[in-house]
Amino acid sequence: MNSISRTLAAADLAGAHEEGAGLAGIGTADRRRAPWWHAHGRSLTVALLVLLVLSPFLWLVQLAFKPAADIFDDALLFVPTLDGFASLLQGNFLKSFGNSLLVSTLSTGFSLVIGVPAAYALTRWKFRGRDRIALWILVTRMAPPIAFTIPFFLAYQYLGLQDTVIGLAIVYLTFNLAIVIWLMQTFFEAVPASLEEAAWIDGCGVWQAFWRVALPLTAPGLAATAVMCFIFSWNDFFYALILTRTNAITAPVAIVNFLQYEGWEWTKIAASGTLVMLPVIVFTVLVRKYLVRGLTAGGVKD
Amino acid sequence: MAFALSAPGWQAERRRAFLLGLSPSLAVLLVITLVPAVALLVASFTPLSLTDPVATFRFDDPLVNYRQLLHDNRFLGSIAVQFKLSASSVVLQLLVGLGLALLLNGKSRVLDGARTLFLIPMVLPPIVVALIWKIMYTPDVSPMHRALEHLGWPVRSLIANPDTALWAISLADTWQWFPFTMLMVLASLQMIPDDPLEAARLEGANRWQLFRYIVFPYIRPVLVVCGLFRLIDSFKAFPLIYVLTNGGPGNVSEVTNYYGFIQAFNFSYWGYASAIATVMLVGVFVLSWLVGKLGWSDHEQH
Amino acid sequence: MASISIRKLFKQFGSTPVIRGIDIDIRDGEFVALVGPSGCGKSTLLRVIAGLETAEGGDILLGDRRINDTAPRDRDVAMVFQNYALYPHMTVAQNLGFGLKIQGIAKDQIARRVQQAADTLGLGELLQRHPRQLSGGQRQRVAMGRAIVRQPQAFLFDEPLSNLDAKLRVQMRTEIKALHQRLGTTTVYVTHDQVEAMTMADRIVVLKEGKVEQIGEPLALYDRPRNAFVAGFIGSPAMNFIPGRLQLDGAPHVLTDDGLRLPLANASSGTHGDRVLYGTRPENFILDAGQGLPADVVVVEPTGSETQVALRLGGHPVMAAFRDRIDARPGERLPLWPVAAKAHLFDAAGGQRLN
Repeated sequence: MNSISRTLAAADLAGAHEEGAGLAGIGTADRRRAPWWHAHGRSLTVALLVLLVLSPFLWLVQLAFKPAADIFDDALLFVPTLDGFASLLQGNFLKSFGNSLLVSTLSTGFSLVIGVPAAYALTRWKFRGRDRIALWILVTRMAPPIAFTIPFFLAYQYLGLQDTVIGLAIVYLTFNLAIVIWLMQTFFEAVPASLEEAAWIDGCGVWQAFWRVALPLTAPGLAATAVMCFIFSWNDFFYALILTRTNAITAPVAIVNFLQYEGWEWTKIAASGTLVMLPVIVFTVLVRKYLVRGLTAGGVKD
Repeated sequence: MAFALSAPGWQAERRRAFLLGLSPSLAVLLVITLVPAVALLVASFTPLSLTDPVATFRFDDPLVNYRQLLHDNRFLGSIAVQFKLSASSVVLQLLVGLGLALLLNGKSRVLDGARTLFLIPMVLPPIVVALIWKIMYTPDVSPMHRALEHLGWPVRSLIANPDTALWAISLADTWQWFPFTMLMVLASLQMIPDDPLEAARLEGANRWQLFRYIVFPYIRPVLVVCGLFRLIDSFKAFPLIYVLTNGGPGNVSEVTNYYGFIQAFNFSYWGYASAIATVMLVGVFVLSWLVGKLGWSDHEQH
Repeated sequence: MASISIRKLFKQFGSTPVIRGIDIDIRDGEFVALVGPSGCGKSTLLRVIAGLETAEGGDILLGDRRINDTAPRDRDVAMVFQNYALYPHMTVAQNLGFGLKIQGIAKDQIARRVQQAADTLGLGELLQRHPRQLSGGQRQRVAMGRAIVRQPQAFLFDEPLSNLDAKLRVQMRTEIKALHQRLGTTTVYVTHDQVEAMTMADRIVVLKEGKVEQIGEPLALYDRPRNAFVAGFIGSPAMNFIPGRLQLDGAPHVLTDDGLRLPLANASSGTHGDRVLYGTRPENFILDAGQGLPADVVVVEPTGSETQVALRLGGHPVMAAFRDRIDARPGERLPLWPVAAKAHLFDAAGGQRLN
């Protein structure tokens, strides 16, 4: 394995940073002077940095709870209110949130059903052209959305898929399918082939062995892949902007409507932003181990 | 792939099974990536405009769009803007990511918590990131502006000022994506073997020397791959520009992606927009190929 | 009828031939061991019989059925893998019953047969555990149980004991052999350990570089190896080979280059003056003060049941094994005499047996 893939392999265990060989560890050996500063200075600096770097994010979240009258005040303390969120209940936002959920789930489902067997076949079947497929997958992931939206827009007008949940879910396959194939390949590679051989001898055909032995053993990886697909679908803005109008509008696009049509209602904007980010934050914490693998899909050979 | 699908026997049965698993994905990928790509190319050879689609769908002068691109100052300007934005934000991301990775590499609960918290900017939906920074850059509601005002340095809106608009976007982009580099470098720092570090420490090397001669050479390949990845991804930047500046003031923050968007969806010049998209696609393809090669061939250096 | 016939089998990986024309006939109910050094093709041969690999040429017959193109699931054989290949996400009971479940056998039948197999192998307590909670020996037994439960026509073992510690290995050897005596199923057993082969098999097939060197009963291979390779492979400690020239004038003997006369019992099919290898097993040396050849002791290794002594006979290192306790010290000189009746003679160039 080259150093990049070794790095990625280690990044997968990003939870286990306990044995860092970084420079910061070097200073702690020096106990002769001010041990308090050395031991806690770094922690203090880090804590301050976290606060500083995340302050824009925190500002948004606190804005969502501020009474509309106070938003131009400087006071950092205020009585929190849920009015911002309540105002979202009228109008389109709730529907768009539901659409986001629906589209993301559908897209994840499609990608898994189509992509997982393909990943399995690619792992177990050695044939020429595998590398070419890898490049293809990489390019689909890297391509700027504008390259796909123009043809899709035209096609969907013609097919009547414009502004439909299904249409959007299909478009999301352009990046989700690649993610599924790339990630699940690495998980299938970790399953020893001898287990499937044992299953064959025990009476299974190829896909029976896949279903009963190989797939169950990739359950955590499968879950992480599903979550990745969900997150990428949920976060999409560009395709949704172009390919939806009122019927299939998703949450990210609905927020932008607040900016343009309903004036600058900052609490509403902040509240909707907070809601839209919630599922993503939750899921990310669940899959942080696999984050790097998903983000660099296709770029490096495992 | 020359083999007999109809032959009897277990080998053939396996081949058929794998083909069955792979073909839906290949078919889908074909339909949703290659077909649109071809359609895009075809459209780029026409002066297609949605104001009169039938009349404008003609091939009498296939290269008309491309020739126009060469003279289109707005297009050429957009490439320069793209370059400036990509270069500045990628460099900043690398620096910040590297710095934080070095700082956060070590054992402690505080560091572990910090590492997780710093992931937040990267996993937020891009639209939410855009909103956060819209708030930060709107003097009325931004803590940054108000703090500066209190300190006696009133600053006008950065995004309304043509000189600073691009930098403002670059800052937001860096905020969003530095965790990517940070994660990758952290993982890479994990992999540095202890022995060279120990040996150098014993010989009295100070932190800077350790970094320059041991750590940096080790993580350099990761930094390169990171940089390339982020570079390719930066072409897709859309929500930030859409929400913060709309390409303005004037055209100072109009990147190529955005320019294509405007051509297609504001002016309905689809043929022309297709040409822009095609040019972008070729650029991405070349860069992706480069990334692939670097990822694959890196082990020759080690 | 569960005989296995392998006729002119040929298999290559890419352009490298791994099995180069093998003919073996295994009788119904027989326990046959395939032995050989690594790379000889024994595991590949087993996998071809199981259906996990396909042969490029030749025939494999189970009973009178040609099974070259049959899928593994239709061959009615069971395999015990070297690394056990137990399904980690299933309990022991589920592992054992998996094959039966796939076949669609009724649940109560499965439960009964699983319980039977578990009792036979002493797994009764472990049925609800998962493989990761078991020791190596226990996993071994589950792997065997999985094979037994299916009541196949043949068992295929792929070096099943090589991951176990020495003591457990010896114990399992006896258990496997007892199991075979009880069930009477045709068994093909691959191992690189010739002691396992010798103690367990009805017949042994010695393979080298994709070809059969010799097939026969263990003692036949031990007493009359067909060539130097088989002679050196079977038996531990290994047979000693001393090069020399065959002398047929007067009493047949072998004259080494440093003038030692090694006795032969009878005339052989070689010509006077041929370069030959004189083979004699460590236990076929005696200490004869009268005609013994001077040998210097290098190392003494008492194992309790016998004393193994490494010596230098002239310029040649040899290993001798004595039943009696020998009081020898390194550096001493002993009068070593090989028993003529037990001597083996091989052609130095080709290795074939000459006597």
